[in-house]
Amino acid sequence: MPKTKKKYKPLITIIVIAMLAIFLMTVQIRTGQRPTFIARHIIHLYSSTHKLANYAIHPIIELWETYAWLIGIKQDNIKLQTEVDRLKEINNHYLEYKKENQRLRLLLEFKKEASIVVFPAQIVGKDPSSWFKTVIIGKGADDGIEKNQAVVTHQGVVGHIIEVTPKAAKVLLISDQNSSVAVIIQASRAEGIMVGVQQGRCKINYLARTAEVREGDVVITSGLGGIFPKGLRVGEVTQIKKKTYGLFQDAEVRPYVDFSKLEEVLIIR
Amino acid sequence: MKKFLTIGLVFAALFIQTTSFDFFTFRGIKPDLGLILVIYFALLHGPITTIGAGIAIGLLEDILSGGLMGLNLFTKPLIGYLFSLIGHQVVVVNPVNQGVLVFLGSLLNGGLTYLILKVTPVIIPGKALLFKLIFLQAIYNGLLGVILIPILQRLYCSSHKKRKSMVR
Repeated sequence: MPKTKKKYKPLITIIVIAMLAIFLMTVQIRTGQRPTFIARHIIHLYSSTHKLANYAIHPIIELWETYAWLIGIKQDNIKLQTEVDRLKEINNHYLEYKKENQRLRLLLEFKKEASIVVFPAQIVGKDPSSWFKTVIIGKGADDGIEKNQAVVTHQGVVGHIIEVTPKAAKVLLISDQNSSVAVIIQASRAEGIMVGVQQGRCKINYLARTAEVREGDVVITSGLGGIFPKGLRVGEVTQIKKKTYGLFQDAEVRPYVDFSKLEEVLIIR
Repeated sequence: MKKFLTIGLVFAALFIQTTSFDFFTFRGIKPDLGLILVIYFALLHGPITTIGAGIAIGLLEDILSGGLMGLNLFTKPLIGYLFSLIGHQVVVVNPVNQGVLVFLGSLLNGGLTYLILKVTPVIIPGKALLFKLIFLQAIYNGLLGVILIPILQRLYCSSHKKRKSMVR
Protein backbone atom coordinates (compact mmCIF):
# COMPACT_ATOMS: atom_id res chain seq x y z
CA MET A 1 0.00 0.00 0.00
CA PRO A 2 2.66 2.59 0.88
CA LYS A 3 4.44 1.66 -2.39
CA THR A 4 1.28 2.45 -4.40
CA LYS A 5 0.91 5.69 -2.47
CA LYS A 6 4.47 6.66 -3.34
CA LYS A 7 3.89 5.77 -6.99
CA TYR A 8 0.90 8.09 -7.30
CA LYS A 9 2.28 10.89 -5.11
CA PRO A 10 3.62 12.98 -8.04
CA LEU A 11 0.40 12.58 -10.00
CA ILE A 12 -1.76 13.55 -7.01
CA THR A 13 0.48 16.58 -6.35
CA ILE A 14 0.15 17.66 -9.98
CA ILE A 15 -3.65 17.38 -9.85
CA VAL A 16 -3.83 19.38 -6.60
CA ILE A 17 -1.47 22.08 -7.96
CA ALA A 18 -3.39 22.28 -11.25
CA MET A 19 -6.63 22.78 -9.32
CA LEU A 20 -5.01 25.47 -7.17
CA ALA A 21 -3.70 27.21 -10.30
CA ILE A 22 -7.14 27.11 -11.93
CA PHE A 23 -8.64 28.50 -8.71
CA LEU A 24 -6.15 31.40 -8.69
CA MET A 25 -6.85 32.17 -12.37
CA THR A 26 -10.60 32.05 -11.75
CA VAL A 27 -10.31 34.44 -8.80
CA GLN A 28 -8.37 36.92 -10.93
CA ILE A 29 -10.78 36.71 -13.87
CA ARG A 30 -13.90 36.94 -11.68
CA THR A 31 -12.74 39.77 -9.43
CA GLY A 32 -10.42 41.56 -11.86
CA GLN A 33 -7.84 41.66 -9.05
CA ARG A 34 -4.71 39.57 -8.69
CA PRO A 35 -4.81 37.45 -5.51
CA THR A 36 -2.05 39.02 -3.44
CA PHE A 37 -2.20 37.29 -0.06
CA ILE A 38 1.29 35.71 -0.31
CA ALA A 39 2.51 37.89 -3.15
CA ARG A 40 2.85 41.01 -0.97
CA HIS A 41 5.54 39.50 1.23
CA ILE A 42 7.38 37.80 -1.63
CA ILE A 43 7.49 40.97 -3.77
CA HIS A 44 8.69 42.93 -0.73
CA LEU A 45 11.45 40.40 -0.08
CA TYR A 46 12.31 40.27 -3.77
CA SER A 47 12.55 44.05 -4.19
CA SER A 48 14.80 44.35 -1.14
CA THR A 49 17.12 41.58 -2.38
CA HIS A 50 17.08 43.02 -5.88
CA LYS A 51 18.01 46.49 -4.65
CA LEU A 52 21.02 45.03 -2.86
CA ALA A 53 22.07 42.88 -5.80
CA ASN A 54 21.62 45.74 -8.28
CA TYR A 55 23.76 47.90 -6.03
CA ALA A 56 26.52 45.29 -6.17
CA ILE A 57 26.21 44.53 -9.89
CA HIS A 58 25.75 48.10 -11.14
CA PRO A 59 29.47 49.04 -11.24
CA ILE A 60 30.22 45.96 -13.40
CA ILE A 61 27.42 46.79 -15.82
CA GLU A 62 28.52 50.41 -15.99
CA LEU A 63 32.08 49.35 -16.79
CA TRP A 64 30.86 46.99 -19.51
CA GLU A 65 28.58 49.61 -21.04
CA THR A 66 31.29 52.27 -21.01
CA TYR A 67 33.71 50.13 -22.98
CA ALA A 68 31.25 48.26 -25.19
CA TRP A 69 29.55 51.41 -26.41
CA LEU A 70 32.73 53.34 -27.15
CA ILE A 71 32.58 52.00 -30.71
CA GLY A 72 31.02 54.60 -32.96
CA ILE A 73 30.97 57.22 -30.21
CA LYS A 74 32.59 59.85 -32.45
CA GLN A 75 29.83 59.66 -35.06
CA ASP A 76 27.24 59.72 -32.28
CA ASN A 77 28.89 62.79 -30.82
CA ILE A 78 28.73 64.70 -34.12
CA LYS A 79 25.11 63.63 -34.60
CA LEU A 80 24.19 64.67 -31.06
CA GLN A 81 25.92 68.03 -31.40
CA THR A 82 23.86 68.77 -34.53
CA GLU A 83 20.76 67.66 -32.65
CA VAL A 84 21.63 69.92 -29.69
CA ASP A 85 22.01 72.93 -32.02
CA ARG A 86 18.68 72.17 -33.65
CA LEU A 87 16.96 71.70 -30.28
CA LYS A 88 18.44 74.95 -28.96
CA GLU A 89 16.79 76.73 -31.84
CA ILE A 90 13.49 75.02 -31.23
CA ASN A 91 13.78 75.69 -27.50
CA ASN A 92 14.24 79.36 -28.20
CA HIS A 93 10.98 79.38 -30.16
CA TYR A 94 9.24 77.58 -27.32
CA LEU A 95 10.50 80.10 -24.78
CA GLU A 96 8.93 82.81 -26.87
CA TYR A 97 5.66 80.92 -27.03
CA LYS A 98 5.81 80.30 -23.28
CA LYS A 99 6.17 83.99 -22.53
CA GLU A 100 3.40 84.81 -24.91
CA ASN A 101 1.23 82.15 -23.31
CA GLN A 102 1.91 83.54 -19.82
CA ARG A 103 0.89 86.99 -20.95
CA LEU A 104 -2.30 85.71 -22.56
CA ARG A 105 -3.17 83.68 -19.48
CA LEU A 106 -2.86 86.75 -17.30
CA LEU A 107 -4.94 88.74 -19.72
CA LEU A 108 -7.71 86.21 -19.79
CA GLU A 109 -7.47 85.64 -16.03
CA PHE A 110 -7.12 81.95 -16.47
CA LYS A 111 -6.46 79.97 -13.35
CA LYS A 112 -3.09 78.35 -13.38
CA GLU A 113 -3.24 74.63 -13.96
CA ALA A 114 -2.46 72.59 -10.86
CA SER A 115 1.16 71.54 -11.21
CA ILE A 116 1.81 67.82 -11.44
CA VAL A 117 3.49 66.28 -8.41
CA VAL A 118 5.99 63.61 -9.40
CA PHE A 119 8.37 61.51 -7.41
CA PRO A 120 11.08 59.14 -8.61
CA ALA A 121 11.34 55.38 -8.25
CA GLN A 122 13.87 52.83 -9.33
CA ILE A 123 13.10 49.78 -11.47
CA VAL A 124 14.01 46.74 -9.40
CA GLY A 125 12.75 43.96 -11.64
CA LYS A 126 11.21 43.06 -14.96
CA ASP A 127 8.50 40.59 -15.85
CA PRO A 128 9.98 37.08 -15.90
CA SER A 129 7.55 36.07 -18.63
CA SER A 130 7.85 37.13 -22.26
CA TRP A 131 4.05 37.25 -22.58
CA PHE A 132 3.53 40.30 -20.41
CA LYS A 133 5.31 43.63 -20.16
CA THR A 134 5.48 44.80 -16.58
CA VAL A 135 8.19 46.13 -14.30
CA ILE A 136 8.51 46.24 -10.52
CA ILE A 137 9.46 49.55 -8.92
CA GLY A 138 11.11 49.88 -5.54
CA LYS A 139 8.41 52.11 -4.03
CA GLY A 140 5.03 51.08 -2.73
CA ALA A 141 2.03 52.04 -0.63
CA ASP A 142 4.30 53.25 2.19
CA ASP A 143 5.64 55.92 -0.18
CA GLY A 144 2.17 57.01 -1.25
CA ILE A 145 1.90 54.89 -4.39
CA GLU A 146 -1.61 53.96 -5.37
CA LYS A 147 -3.15 51.80 -8.05
CA ASN A 148 -3.77 53.51 -11.41
CA GLN A 149 -1.18 56.25 -10.95
CA ALA A 150 0.60 57.27 -14.15
CA VAL A 151 4.27 56.41 -14.60
CA VAL A 152 6.48 58.52 -16.86
CA THR A 153 10.09 59.40 -17.61
CA HIS A 154 11.56 62.60 -19.02
CA GLN A 155 11.14 60.95 -22.46
CA GLY A 156 7.45 60.15 -22.19
CA VAL A 157 4.76 57.88 -20.83
CA VAL A 158 5.85 54.52 -19.40
CA GLY A 159 2.64 52.96 -18.07
CA HIS A 160 0.49 52.83 -14.98
CA ILE A 161 0.49 51.14 -11.57
CA ILE A 162 -1.50 47.90 -11.50
CA GLU A 163 -0.51 46.36 -8.19
CA VAL A 164 0.79 47.88 -4.97
CA THR A 165 2.50 46.28 -1.99
CA PRO A 166 3.86 48.26 0.99
CA LYS A 167 7.41 48.53 -0.40
CA ALA A 168 7.05 47.83 -4.14
CA ALA A 169 4.60 48.26 -7.00
CA LYS A 170 4.00 46.72 -10.40
CA VAL A 171 3.76 48.89 -13.52
CA LEU A 172 1.97 47.78 -16.68
CA LEU A 173 3.95 49.18 -19.61
CA ILE A 174 2.16 50.83 -22.51
CA SER A 175 3.78 48.25 -24.81
CA ASP A 176 1.78 45.43 -23.18
CA GLN A 177 -1.16 44.23 -25.25
CA ASN A 178 -3.44 44.57 -22.20
CA SER A 179 -2.65 48.26 -21.80
CA SER A 180 -4.78 50.97 -23.40
CA VAL A 181 -4.21 54.71 -23.28
CA ALA A 182 -6.49 57.44 -24.64
CA VAL A 183 -4.34 59.55 -26.95
CA ILE A 184 -4.52 62.37 -29.47
CA ILE A 185 -2.37 63.21 -32.44
CA GLN A 186 -0.82 66.55 -31.50
CA ALA A 187 -1.03 68.11 -34.96
CA SER A 188 -4.49 67.05 -36.13
CA ARG A 189 -6.08 66.58 -32.65
CA ALA A 190 -7.48 63.24 -33.84
CA GLU A 191 -8.37 60.97 -30.93
CA GLY A 192 -7.76 57.26 -30.57
CA ILE A 193 -7.01 54.43 -28.18
CA MET A 194 -3.42 53.29 -28.08
CA VAL A 195 -2.72 49.64 -27.26
CA GLY A 196 0.55 47.79 -26.93
CA VAL A 197 1.67 45.35 -29.58
CA GLN A 198 4.81 44.31 -27.66
CA GLN A 199 8.37 44.56 -28.96
CA GLY A 200 8.27 48.06 -27.49
CA ARG A 201 5.73 49.19 -30.11
CA CYS A 202 2.16 50.42 -29.88
CA LYS A 203 -0.83 50.87 -32.17
CA ILE A 204 -3.58 53.49 -32.19
CA ASN A 205 -7.03 52.04 -32.79
CA TYR A 206 -10.28 53.89 -33.52
CA LEU A 207 -8.57 56.76 -35.26
CA ALA A 208 -11.17 58.44 -37.48
CA ARG A 209 -10.61 57.60 -41.14
CA THR A 210 -11.01 61.24 -42.09
CA ALA A 211 -8.36 62.41 -39.61
CA GLU A 212 -5.14 63.71 -41.10
CA VAL A 213 -2.33 61.63 -39.69
CA ARG A 214 1.22 61.68 -41.00
CA GLU A 215 4.31 59.67 -40.23
CA GLY A 216 6.36 61.48 -37.60
CA ASP A 217 3.31 63.07 -35.93
CA VAL A 218 3.66 63.39 -32.17
CA VAL A 219 1.21 61.41 -30.04
CA ILE A 220 0.19 62.80 -26.64
CA THR A 221 -2.21 61.65 -23.92
CA SER A 222 -5.73 63.02 -24.20
CA GLY A 223 -6.51 62.99 -20.49
CA LEU A 224 -9.56 60.77 -21.00
CA GLY A 225 -9.69 57.65 -18.85
CA GLY A 226 -8.53 59.44 -15.73
CA ILE A 227 -5.11 57.82 -15.39
CA PHE A 228 -2.82 60.00 -17.50
CA PRO A 229 -2.98 63.80 -17.35
CA LYS A 230 -3.55 65.53 -20.67
CA GLY A 231 -0.59 66.44 -22.85
CA LEU A 232 2.06 63.90 -21.85
CA ARG A 233 4.30 62.87 -24.73
CA VAL A 234 3.81 59.23 -25.71
CA GLY A 235 5.56 58.61 -29.00
CA GLU A 236 5.55 59.28 -32.72
CA VAL A 237 3.62 57.78 -35.58
CA THR A 238 5.79 55.48 -37.68
CA GLN A 239 3.23 53.90 -40.00
CA ILE A 240 -0.38 54.48 -41.02
CA LYS A 241 -2.62 51.60 -42.02
CA LYS A 242 -5.70 52.68 -43.95
CA LYS A 243 -7.86 49.95 -45.44
CA THR A 244 -10.10 50.55 -48.46
CA TYR A 245 -13.14 50.14 -46.23
CA GLY A 246 -14.21 50.85 -42.63
CA LEU A 247 -14.66 53.89 -40.40
CA PHE A 248 -11.22 53.91 -38.85
CA GLN A 249 -7.55 53.87 -39.68
CA ASP A 250 -4.74 52.42 -37.57
CA ALA A 251 -1.42 54.03 -36.80
CA GLU A 252 1.71 52.35 -35.51
CA VAL A 253 3.50 54.29 -32.79
CA ARG A 254 7.08 54.14 -31.62
CA PRO A 255 7.08 55.20 -27.96
CA TYR A 256 9.67 57.79 -26.94
CA VAL A 257 10.62 55.63 -23.99
CA ASP A 258 13.08 52.81 -24.64
CA PHE A 259 11.63 50.14 -22.37
CA SER A 260 14.71 47.95 -22.58
CA LYS A 261 16.80 50.67 -20.94
CA LEU A 262 14.42 51.76 -18.22
CA GLU A 263 16.15 52.32 -14.89
CA GLU A 264 14.32 55.13 -13.14
CA VAL A 265 10.78 56.39 -13.56
CA LEU A 266 8.60 59.18 -12.22
CA ILE A 267 5.21 58.52 -10.68
CA ILE A 268 2.53 61.17 -11.05
CA ARG A 269 0.46 61.74 -7.94
CA MET B 1 23.67 20.09 0.02
CA LYS B 2 21.60 19.03 -3.01
CA LYS B 3 18.51 20.71 -1.56
CA PHE B 4 20.35 23.98 -0.97
CA LEU B 5 21.78 23.88 -4.48
CA THR B 6 18.30 23.29 -5.93
CA ILE B 7 16.83 26.20 -3.97
CA GLY B 8 19.80 28.39 -4.91
CA LEU B 9 19.41 27.56 -8.60
CA VAL B 10 15.68 28.33 -8.55
CA PHE B 11 16.34 31.76 -7.06
CA ALA B 12 19.32 32.42 -9.34
CA ALA B 13 17.24 31.58 -12.44
CA LEU B 14 14.47 33.92 -11.33
CA PHE B 15 16.89 36.66 -10.41
CA ILE B 16 18.54 36.56 -13.85
CA GLN B 17 15.13 36.32 -15.52
CA THR B 18 13.79 39.42 -13.78
CA THR B 19 16.96 41.42 -13.56
CA SER B 20 16.92 44.97 -14.84
CA PHE B 21 19.72 44.32 -17.32
CA ASP B 22 18.66 42.12 -20.24
CA PHE B 23 21.82 40.08 -20.44
CA PHE B 24 20.18 37.02 -21.94
CA THR B 25 17.69 38.83 -24.18
CA PHE B 26 18.50 38.36 -27.84
CA ARG B 27 16.58 40.43 -30.40
CA GLY B 28 13.63 40.78 -28.06
CA ILE B 29 13.52 37.07 -27.25
CA LYS B 30 13.88 36.29 -23.60
CA PRO B 31 14.84 32.73 -22.65
CA ASP B 32 12.83 30.92 -20.01
CA LEU B 33 15.56 29.93 -17.56
CA GLY B 34 12.99 28.57 -15.11
CA LEU B 35 11.68 26.16 -17.71
CA ILE B 36 15.19 24.99 -18.67
CA LEU B 37 15.82 24.29 -14.99
CA VAL B 38 12.54 22.37 -14.64
CA ILE B 39 13.35 20.20 -17.68
CA TYR B 40 16.86 19.60 -16.37
CA PHE B 41 15.42 18.38 -13.05
CA ALA B 42 12.88 16.27 -14.92
CA LEU B 43 15.50 14.50 -17.01
CA LEU B 44 18.05 13.90 -14.29
CA HIS B 45 16.52 14.21 -10.82
CA GLY B 46 13.17 12.44 -10.73
CA PRO B 47 9.58 13.67 -10.40
CA ILE B 48 9.52 14.82 -6.76
CA THR B 49 12.39 17.33 -7.09
CA THR B 50 11.01 18.41 -10.49
CA ILE B 51 7.50 19.06 -9.24
CA GLY B 52 8.84 20.90 -6.19
CA ALA B 53 11.06 23.11 -8.35
CA GLY B 54 8.23 23.55 -10.88
CA ILE B 55 5.85 24.74 -8.16
CA ALA B 56 8.42 27.16 -6.71
CA ILE B 57 9.42 28.58 -10.10
CA GLY B 58 5.84 28.76 -11.37
CA LEU B 59 4.50 30.44 -8.24
CA LEU B 60 7.36 32.94 -8.00
CA GLU B 61 7.09 33.79 -11.71
CA ASP B 62 3.36 34.37 -11.32
CA ILE B 63 3.90 36.63 -8.33
CA LEU B 64 6.60 38.69 -10.03
CA SER B 65 4.79 38.82 -13.37
CA GLY B 66 1.94 41.17 -14.16
CA GLY B 67 0.03 38.49 -16.02
CA LEU B 68 -2.48 35.87 -15.02
CA MET B 69 -1.90 34.51 -11.52
CA GLY B 70 -1.67 30.71 -11.62
CA LEU B 71 -0.59 30.47 -15.26
CA ASN B 72 2.99 29.37 -14.61
CA LEU B 73 1.93 27.46 -11.51
CA PHE B 74 -0.17 25.36 -13.88
CA THR B 75 2.31 24.90 -16.74
CA LYS B 76 5.72 24.53 -15.07
CA PRO B 77 5.01 21.60 -12.67
CA LEU B 78 2.89 19.87 -15.35
CA ILE B 79 5.65 20.03 -17.98
CA GLY B 80 8.15 18.97 -15.34
CA TYR B 81 6.02 15.96 -14.46
CA LEU B 82 5.53 14.95 -18.10
CA PHE B 83 9.25 15.21 -18.84
CA SER B 84 10.14 13.35 -15.66
CA LEU B 85 8.19 10.43 -17.12
CA ILE B 86 10.61 10.52 -20.09
CA GLY B 87 13.56 10.87 -17.71
CA HIS B 88 12.27 7.84 -15.81
CA GLN B 89 12.21 5.68 -18.96
CA VAL B 90 15.40 6.75 -20.73
CA VAL B 91 18.62 8.33 -19.53
CA VAL B 92 19.29 11.37 -21.70
CA VAL B 93 22.97 12.25 -21.38
CA ASN B 94 23.75 13.70 -24.81
CA PRO B 95 23.60 17.52 -24.55
CA VAL B 96 22.08 17.79 -28.04
CA ASN B 97 19.25 15.43 -27.12
CA GLN B 98 18.77 17.38 -23.90
CA GLY B 99 18.56 20.56 -25.96
CA VAL B 100 15.95 18.97 -28.24
CA LEU B 101 13.88 18.04 -25.20
CA VAL B 102 14.17 21.58 -23.84
CA PHE B 103 12.98 22.82 -27.25
CA LEU B 104 9.98 20.46 -27.15
CA GLY B 105 9.24 21.42 -23.55
CA SER B 106 9.30 25.11 -24.49
CA LEU B 107 6.93 24.48 -27.38
CA LEU B 108 4.58 22.67 -25.02
CA ASN B 109 4.87 25.49 -22.47
CA GLY B 110 4.14 28.11 -25.15
CA GLY B 111 1.21 26.09 -26.50
CA LEU B 112 -0.29 25.59 -23.04
CA THR B 113 0.16 29.27 -22.16
CA TYR B 114 -1.54 30.26 -25.42
CA LEU B 115 -4.47 27.89 -24.84
CA ILE B 116 -4.99 29.08 -21.27
CA LEU B 117 -4.84 32.75 -22.24
CA LYS B 118 -7.14 32.07 -25.20
CA VAL B 119 -9.96 30.91 -22.89
CA THR B 120 -9.52 33.86 -20.52
CA PRO B 121 -10.31 37.54 -21.13
CA VAL B 122 -6.56 38.34 -21.15
CA ILE B 123 -5.54 39.81 -24.52
CA ILE B 124 -2.93 37.69 -26.28
CA PRO B 125 -0.31 39.00 -28.73
CA GLY B 126 -0.82 38.90 -32.50
CA LYS B 127 0.14 35.93 -34.72
CA ALA B 128 3.57 37.25 -35.75
CA LEU B 129 4.54 37.82 -32.17
CA LEU B 130 3.14 34.47 -31.08
CA PHE B 131 5.55 32.81 -33.50
CA LYS B 132 8.39 34.69 -31.87
CA LEU B 133 7.11 34.07 -28.35
CA ILE B 134 6.58 30.35 -28.84
CA PHE B 135 8.75 29.01 -31.67
CA LEU B 136 11.79 31.29 -31.61
CA GLN B 137 11.88 31.27 -27.83
CA ALA B 138 11.77 27.46 -27.92
CA ILE B 139 14.79 27.42 -30.27
CA TYR B 140 16.65 29.84 -28.01
CA ASN B 141 15.75 27.79 -24.92
CA GLY B 142 16.89 24.61 -26.69
CA LEU B 143 20.25 26.12 -27.64
CA LEU B 144 20.71 27.47 -24.14
CA GLY B 145 19.72 24.06 -22.77
CA VAL B 146 22.58 22.42 -24.73
CA ILE B 147 25.02 24.69 -22.87
CA LEU B 148 23.34 25.00 -19.47
CA ILE B 149 22.29 21.42 -18.73
CA PRO B 150 25.84 19.96 -18.78
CA ILE B 151 26.97 22.88 -16.57
CA LEU B 152 24.14 22.18 -14.11
CA GLN B 153 24.98 18.48 -14.14
CA ARG B 154 28.63 19.21 -13.42
CA LEU B 155 27.58 21.52 -10.58
CA TYR B 156 25.48 18.77 -8.99
CA CYS B 157 28.22 16.16 -9.49
CA SER B 158 30.83 18.36 -7.83
CA SER B 159 28.55 19.12 -4.88
CA HIS B 160 27.88 15.37 -4.54
CA LYS B 161 31.63 14.59 -4.60
CA LYS B 162 32.30 17.28 -1.99
CA ARG B 163 29.68 15.76 0.26
CA LYS B 164 31.19 12.29 -0.18
CA SER B 165 34.66 13.52 0.71
CA MET B 166 33.24 15.29 3.76
CA VAL B 167 31.59 12.02 4.93
CA ARG B 168 34.90 10.14 4.54
